[in-house]
Amino acid sequence: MDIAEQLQKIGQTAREEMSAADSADVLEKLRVHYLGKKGELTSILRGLKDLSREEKREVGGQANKLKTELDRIIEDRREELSSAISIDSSFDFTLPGRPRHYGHRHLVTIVMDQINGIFQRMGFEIADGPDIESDYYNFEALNFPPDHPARDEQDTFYVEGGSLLRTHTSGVQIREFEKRKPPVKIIAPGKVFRNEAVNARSYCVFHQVEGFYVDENVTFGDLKGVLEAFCYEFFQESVQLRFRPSFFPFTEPSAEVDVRCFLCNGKGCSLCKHEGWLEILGCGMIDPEVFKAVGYDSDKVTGYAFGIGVERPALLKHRVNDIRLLFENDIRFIKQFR
Amino acid sequence: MKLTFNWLKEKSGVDWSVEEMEDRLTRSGTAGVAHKINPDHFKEVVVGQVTKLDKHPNADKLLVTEVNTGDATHTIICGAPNCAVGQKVVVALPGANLKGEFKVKEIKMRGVESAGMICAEDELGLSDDHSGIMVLDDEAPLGRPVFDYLALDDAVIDFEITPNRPDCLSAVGVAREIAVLAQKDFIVKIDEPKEVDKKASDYIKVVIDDPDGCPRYTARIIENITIGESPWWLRKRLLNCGIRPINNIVDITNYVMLETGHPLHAFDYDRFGSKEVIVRRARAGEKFITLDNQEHELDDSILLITNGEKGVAAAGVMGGLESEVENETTTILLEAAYFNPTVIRRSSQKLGISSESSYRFERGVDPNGVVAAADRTAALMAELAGGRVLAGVVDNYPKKISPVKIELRPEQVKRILGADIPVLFMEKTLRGLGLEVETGSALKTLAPTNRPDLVREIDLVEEIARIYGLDKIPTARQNGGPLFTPSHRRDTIKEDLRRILNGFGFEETLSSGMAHAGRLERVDSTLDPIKVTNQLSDEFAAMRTRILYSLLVSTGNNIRHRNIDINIFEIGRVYLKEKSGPVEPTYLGLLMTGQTEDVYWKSQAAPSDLFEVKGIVEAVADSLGLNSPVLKAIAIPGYDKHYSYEVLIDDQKVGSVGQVDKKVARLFDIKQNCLAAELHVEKLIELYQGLKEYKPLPKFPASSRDIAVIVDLSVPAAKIREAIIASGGELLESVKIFDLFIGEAVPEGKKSLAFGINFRSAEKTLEDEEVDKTHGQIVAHLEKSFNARLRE
Ligand SMILES: [Zn+2]
Repeated sequence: MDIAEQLQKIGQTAREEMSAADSADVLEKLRVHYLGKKGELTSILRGLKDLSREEKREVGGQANKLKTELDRIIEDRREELSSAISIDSSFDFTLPGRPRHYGHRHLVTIVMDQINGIFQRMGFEIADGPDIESDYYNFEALNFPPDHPARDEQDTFYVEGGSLLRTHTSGVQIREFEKRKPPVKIIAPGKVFRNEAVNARSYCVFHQVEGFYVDENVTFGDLKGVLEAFCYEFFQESVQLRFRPSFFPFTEPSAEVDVRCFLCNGKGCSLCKHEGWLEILGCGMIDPEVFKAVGYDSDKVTGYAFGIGVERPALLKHRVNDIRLLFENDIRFIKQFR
Repeated sequence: MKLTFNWLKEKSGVDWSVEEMEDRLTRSGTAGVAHKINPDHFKEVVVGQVTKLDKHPNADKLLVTEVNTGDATHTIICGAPNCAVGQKVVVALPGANLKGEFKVKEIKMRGVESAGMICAEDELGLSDDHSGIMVLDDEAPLGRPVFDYLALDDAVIDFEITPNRPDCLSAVGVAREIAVLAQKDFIVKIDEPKEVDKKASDYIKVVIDDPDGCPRYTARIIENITIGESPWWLRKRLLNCGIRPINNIVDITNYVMLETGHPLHAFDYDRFGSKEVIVRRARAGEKFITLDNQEHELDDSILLITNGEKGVAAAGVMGGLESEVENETTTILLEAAYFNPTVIRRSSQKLGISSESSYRFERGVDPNGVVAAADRTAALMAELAGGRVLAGVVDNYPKKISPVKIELRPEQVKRILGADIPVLFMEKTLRGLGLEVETGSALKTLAPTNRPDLVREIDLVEEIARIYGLDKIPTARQNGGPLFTPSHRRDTIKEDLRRILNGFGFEETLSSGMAHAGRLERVDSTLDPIKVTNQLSDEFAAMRTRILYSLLVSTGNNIRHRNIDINIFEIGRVYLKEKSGPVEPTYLGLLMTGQTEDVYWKSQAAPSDLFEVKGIVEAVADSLGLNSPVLKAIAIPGYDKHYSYEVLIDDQKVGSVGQVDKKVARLFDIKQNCLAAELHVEKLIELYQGLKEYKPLPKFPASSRDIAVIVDLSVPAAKIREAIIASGGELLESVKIFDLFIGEAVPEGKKSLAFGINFRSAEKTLEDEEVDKTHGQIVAHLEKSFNARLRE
């Protein structure tokens, strides 16, 4: 039997015996038997010195490899034997993990972030204006004449000193137009106030994202494109839209946009009040009077504007039937949304 | 505003289904929702005639009637006081299911069989009138289903008319829209009354004292009228349109208003008090009683119709009690006028009355449609009330209002809409809408005076767009605009803060920003809040000056619902009065109360305390890349003065931390300990010092030593820590406090504080001797400065 065969044989028996060792003592004896100072493998390694250089290299490599292998087997087996002893019979992994609580954004923030994100990806910059606003920015510059019935549509809170609580974020249009030259492409998210009775369907405060884009050659078709893209992205399904002419003093033509009720698909249900459509936003082409107020030339530029209420789609999406829940801040409600 | 489907069909001559009419109008800007009358609710409901009437033998208030329905006679018990022999009535026979909720059956009432029911209008769902049974015209054919006889095969369309479209507040106006949409010619029928020889001008004169307020006033006289109930068709239309029938004269004026959009007023000529109508501004302090029997004190913002002596009507808003049409009235003075919209709006607001009339006048009626409306009304009064119409309209029109010239460049339509719409379509549409159109490279148009909203070219573009159909305008598939739009730290910091606080397990709340003035004052009496002058309720009477207020409201709401372990935050504006006007700084507020974390079987949860909040504030500063905050004790309103701190970063005030004053918390129904912090977000943005330069990682290992000292209870831990740093020299790398002990092993009035100190050199591995030497210096310094004693 040459040395290589011997090595193979030692390896085979050693592997078998070591895997079968059932105590640390037996294992230790095996280690001494094979790898100890007088061990089988050790003797072979010692005998290598009598071989030729070439044989030394070849057989030596094999013998060293086997030694490393057997060392590892002994170590693994020792670990197995010791952990078998220390198994904890009280370990019960059905107990809950340590609570790591990640808080929740408010539902309005979640939806507002979504809306802002979509429009930012379409190249809109975020701007903001004050909540306590002057009549000029909230109404007059937006072409709401004094004593006009259009003001009735926006029941207004007034504060001492003659200012008011903005009824929409549309006033940001004027503030930004005053600061910039076209092209201007902005969204203005924020809180708005309406002097309306508080009940399940309406609250005196809500949030709005106003958007507007003024440039050369901006058309109603562009407005439709941006809003359709928004709706597809926001509702995450191919919604059907309806552009319905309407009236806002600061846009002309004006429209309201309805989406096909996604609960009944237009057949009529309680969500859409049996109309088959859900109103989600108002929009239009910016009225030349508004441009006049800020010194833009309506023969050179055109623009569109739109305003999206945040609460309504938030409630619709999650079928929440009472808007007051949003402002009561019950943490059991807040924790339901991500 | 409600109109009926049949009425619109008749006026427009367009044969659409209810659904098509509803949809096409809605898609062109006249939003309406149709409600149909359900024929099933009129099954077994027929015309009958009362042929016999007896008192019920066993009940005083009941009558036993015999009712003939053509092929049969029924015994029916009825309790209505107005029931009489010969009347044609509505009979619900057994099997009927009135309003879908009341099943009619044969029943025995106090010993007498009743085989049906004689119905009142409310029982049929036609109105809410329950004063007596519904009496039909004498010609009503016996046995005829009432659904057919009353032509109930109709739908009520409830319109939401935008304030720019007063012309659509009428059947004629909406019918014109329908005709234009159907591309059909629209003809308004003119109804002129037959006149008698007597001249109206001999009976009444009209003087206008305020031509701006009243550019036109016309009067007609109709004599010999008999007040009575209007015929069913008229009452039905009014009822369907949501107007309660009163008597033929009032009903006619209301009907013509619904038909033409023109409000009219009928005075009792004999009670008018003079032969002269004088239209003037009211005098300050002048008193006037409206026909709802309310006395108003007037001022010169109110336009008044007078008889020369005193007011008879608040122009365009409501008539007066004294000249109201009564049952005895025989002669009518009919007013048809055009009032200035702004003046009527102010009058209406001042009087606190919004009527069908003021609603239309303040939006603008057609000054040149006044006479036609008066004619139509007079003709109906002749027809339905037996009136004789006196010759002529007394017409005072001092301020003539003419059609407006507007030019429309077809290319402008393309420029605004982005759609190629044929010029021919534009012409046809505008003509259909009542404009005169002269063709050319630009369309020269004349807009009729019933369309006060058509003044500029853009107004015509809108007309084209809505009749063409917004859905047909091609949708852009590309996106234009600036190359790049920046984001702002003002916005992104809020996202960061939310992520940080969410990460610490805090829930985000959101509040109105408005506050109860009294409770807000108790939270912070040093800040004078901005008050709402027309508040909805006390809860929304002032603007919050502290974010703490809203956190307390939210906490109170939760505790009421038994959510007692709360970690919440809110990011929002507070509103402060400054000399220059209101300012609206944004604050991050956070509040902790109850247990700090969820129940865990391995450890006991601890109640929140101020150190939790302090830790959050420190972590917030750190995660925004700011230097460590320093908390300085100072009394801050809303917090317990013993546990109230100002937050300083780089020596600048950025907010506050504290334990909420128990008395304040109780105002919000909170009885548990609340810890809060408020941080001024804009200040946090300002304090950010930009990117920091990289510090090389240490090459040599650190050595550590622990040290525990016993000092007086009054010595602040931070002072000792500072002293350690000061005496530790260059080798000292960091100091951490790892234990505080007060109790038996320590003398009374003393505490033990333990510090873990790290030493490190940038140049070499430290020898024990070097570390011990520095450590010794520190100990000596502490002993000297604080009379500290080493704890073994
Ligand atoms: Zn639906």
